[in-house]
Amino acid sequence: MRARAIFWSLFFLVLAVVLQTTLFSRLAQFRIFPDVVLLVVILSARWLDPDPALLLGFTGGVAVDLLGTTPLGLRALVMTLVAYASVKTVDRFDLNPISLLISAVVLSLLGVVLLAVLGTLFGQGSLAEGNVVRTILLVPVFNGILALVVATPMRRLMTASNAGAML
Amino acid sequence: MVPDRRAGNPTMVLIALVVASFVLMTFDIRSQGEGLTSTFRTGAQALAAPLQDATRVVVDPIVDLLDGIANLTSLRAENGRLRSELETLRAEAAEAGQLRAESELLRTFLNLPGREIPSIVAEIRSGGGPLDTGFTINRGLDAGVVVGNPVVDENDVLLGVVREVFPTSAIVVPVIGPTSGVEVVTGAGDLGVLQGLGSTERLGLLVLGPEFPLFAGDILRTSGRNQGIPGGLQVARVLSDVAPSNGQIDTTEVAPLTDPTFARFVVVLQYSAAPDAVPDEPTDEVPTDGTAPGTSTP
Repeated sequence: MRARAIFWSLFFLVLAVVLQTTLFSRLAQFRIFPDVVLLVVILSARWLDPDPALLLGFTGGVAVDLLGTTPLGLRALVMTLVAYASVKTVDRFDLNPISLLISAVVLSLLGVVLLAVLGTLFGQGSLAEGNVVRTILLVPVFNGILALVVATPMRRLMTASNAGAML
Repeated sequence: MVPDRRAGNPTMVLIALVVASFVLMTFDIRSQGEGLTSTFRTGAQALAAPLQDATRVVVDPIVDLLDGIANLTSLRAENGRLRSELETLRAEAAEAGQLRAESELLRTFLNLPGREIPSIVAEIRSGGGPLDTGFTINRGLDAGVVVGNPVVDENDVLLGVVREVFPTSAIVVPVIGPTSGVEVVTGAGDLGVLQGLGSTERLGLLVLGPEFPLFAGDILRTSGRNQGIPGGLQVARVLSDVAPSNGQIDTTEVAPLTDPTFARFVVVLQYSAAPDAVPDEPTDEVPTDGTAPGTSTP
């Protein structure tokens, strides 16, 4: 069960990294820019044990750092913190779509704000970016919408359970 | 189904990972992307490249289709405009061909070296996530790309500068990136520094001791000094008149001429400042680490 969850979370993480750097970097021209790696980290924390959830966040962040232009470790730090927040708050949300939407939006917002603040502290000038407010507001919205779409298949694959509540 | 949250001690793991992240960041920033972190990036790029290329085979046609649908209404008018522009450009190309032949002939007579800058056409392989304006191209060391090479679009508008290079790919920091700075010359000839703001709509411009104001529509071009970037490349357009204040012009009334978000193919100029490129200014020494002269990475 745990091995299955870890396997599928890593699969979704790799998929998210590839899609983030290809599909969603091109869709940015339509002002569509979710952070799907962040979303996978947030959602996976629901069905992973705490330690693997944190390691998944760290791994996802390092992967994006390695393929992008941010300092190595910046997104790793942000995603580790978001994974921790997700692990600590997962029991506080009821297992229904509205709750899922809210948690995905709030945790994504936390992630983007942390990224902007830490990026500025480490010389990336993120908070000085002209589009920072738009990015901070839109990424959580897109992540929330995507969470409603991908949460059910992710849960089914990671838990091998079709019974019970939707999420 | 939620797993038993009592298992494990996430706080200890969190502390360890946070410390690891800070160590990685410090190491990466201090080493300026070289050494061990460069090796990691090279490995990651090599691993991800086949996956990204395969994904793009599927993704690009879909995005192109969406792009076409989104712009359907304006395509007819755009087509007519492009036809008339094509006629004009053909006439200009014929004239330019004559001038080029004449120039070559004169250069041969005068025994002058050619001024053509070798270039490499590259495709954008991947972009960064949110709040990361950089992008990766599918040409690297193997194709002759080096750190500091300027990257332009099909109209010779400066898009950015190569910051890191790997065997088969390179990372480009765009002009609009918040860590980017390019020395430019205004329409009136004053020197200034163009600063990226992370916005595709605005850039910051600082001109110290300007002799003339800026006028709306002025094109800012690269100065060709100290940056490993040839002079004369178009970068940005002034949006409105700006008068000097306190002996300087500090404005954001400047827009980039191109948006890298829309770019798919780019041209890497294999430029290295020739000794005669900036005759009035002291040139930087040519570094021995394979970087273009006069370049600095943020």
